[in-house]
Amino acid sequence: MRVAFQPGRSATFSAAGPVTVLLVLAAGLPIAQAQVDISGVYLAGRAETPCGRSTNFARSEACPINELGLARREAATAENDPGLDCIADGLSRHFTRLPRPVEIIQSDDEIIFHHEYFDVRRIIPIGGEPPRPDTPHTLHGYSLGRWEGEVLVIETSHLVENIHTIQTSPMTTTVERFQWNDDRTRLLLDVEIDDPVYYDGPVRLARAEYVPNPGDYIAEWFCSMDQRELFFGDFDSFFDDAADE
Amino acid sequence: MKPFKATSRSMAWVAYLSCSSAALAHHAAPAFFDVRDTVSVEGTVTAHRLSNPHSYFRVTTDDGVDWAFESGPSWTALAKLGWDDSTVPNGARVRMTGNPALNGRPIARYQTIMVQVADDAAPVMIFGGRAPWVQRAQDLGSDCGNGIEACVMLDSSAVATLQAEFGDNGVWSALRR
Repeated sequence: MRVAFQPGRSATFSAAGPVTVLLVLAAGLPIAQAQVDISGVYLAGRAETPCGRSTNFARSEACPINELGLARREAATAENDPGLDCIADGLSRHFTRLPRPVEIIQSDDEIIFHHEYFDVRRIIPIGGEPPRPDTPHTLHGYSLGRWEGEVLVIETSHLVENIHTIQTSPMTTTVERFQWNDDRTRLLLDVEIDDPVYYDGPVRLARAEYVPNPGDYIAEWFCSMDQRELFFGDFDSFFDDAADE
Repeated sequence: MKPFKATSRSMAWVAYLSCSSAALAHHAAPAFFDVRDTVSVEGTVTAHRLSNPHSYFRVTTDDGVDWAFESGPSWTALAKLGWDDSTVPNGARVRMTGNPALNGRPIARYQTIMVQVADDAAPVMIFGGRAPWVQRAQDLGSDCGNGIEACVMLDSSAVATLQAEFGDNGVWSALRR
């Protein structure tokens, strides 16, 4: 386990034990945060949603989607799938779109998740500042990370609405918890999604596994901007363009 | 393992066992494709789009109808595993099966591809992992998988065995033109 000091930051946990914590607090010194090394390239497993097609989007104890959520879901169609315009899935949908290669780049101050899929880079500051009032809503939101013992906890807010796969509103917050399994052969991810607009309670995704894949790498991503032509426009021009590439 | 290249003339038949699925795909496949239906199309590969989040093959039937078949995995994923435009080359004789587009266009998410690569008129086969004959094909052939798109090489007698054992049950399902 790697233990790093975070000068100037308040600690959420110390591996050194409660007595040491009290002594350090009394001395006004920075406290070591327990940081586990999770850096590397993984094949990120998907987290099954209880609110997906496998359950026919039905409301259930595991999927407390409300009437407003069910009604809004009707707006999700193939035609307005953002991927047709090379727009990434967004955080909530991203959880279910795996397995995909992801590289985790770790430092004391931040953790970067670089997903090959749509070249998504999530920069997670560790112990960073809370979002300002004017923080924009984005596909992957505003995230803050912290270590709770050997568990990396990432809380995200300020997401844009997503009506595909896992429906979320701008009020959605997510909590991701990453931790190694017992023999440290898998990085485990548990996700909880809270959304007061479309759900009456939290949605917990099935645990996903990130499998270390040190022989892999994150390749350049390029995306066809004209997929809409194939499905809804000029079929022939879609392939005619290929001849020019 | 790199996939078998269709330019090889040493093998009469190859079977790729596609792991294509919604889990690997960008599109929510059931939103675009009828996952309860299967089409089979025979023709010639006349164009490629090697792209993300999906790649496409255009297959032109002998009647002149163009079909587009979409891959499940991204092109980036396939390219890392050795796929290129010679894996299923333009001009190859193919028989494709897949889930057809819900909007009625001649588009499908491929589940199986059979590609003719040798002069003896025997095709390479690339096909999906859920078909009932997949396990049998694996038993009959030799592995050439690459982790995302599994692959089995079959000789002509093995394909004949599949035809005899499974008939129209997936291997040679009725063509839709």
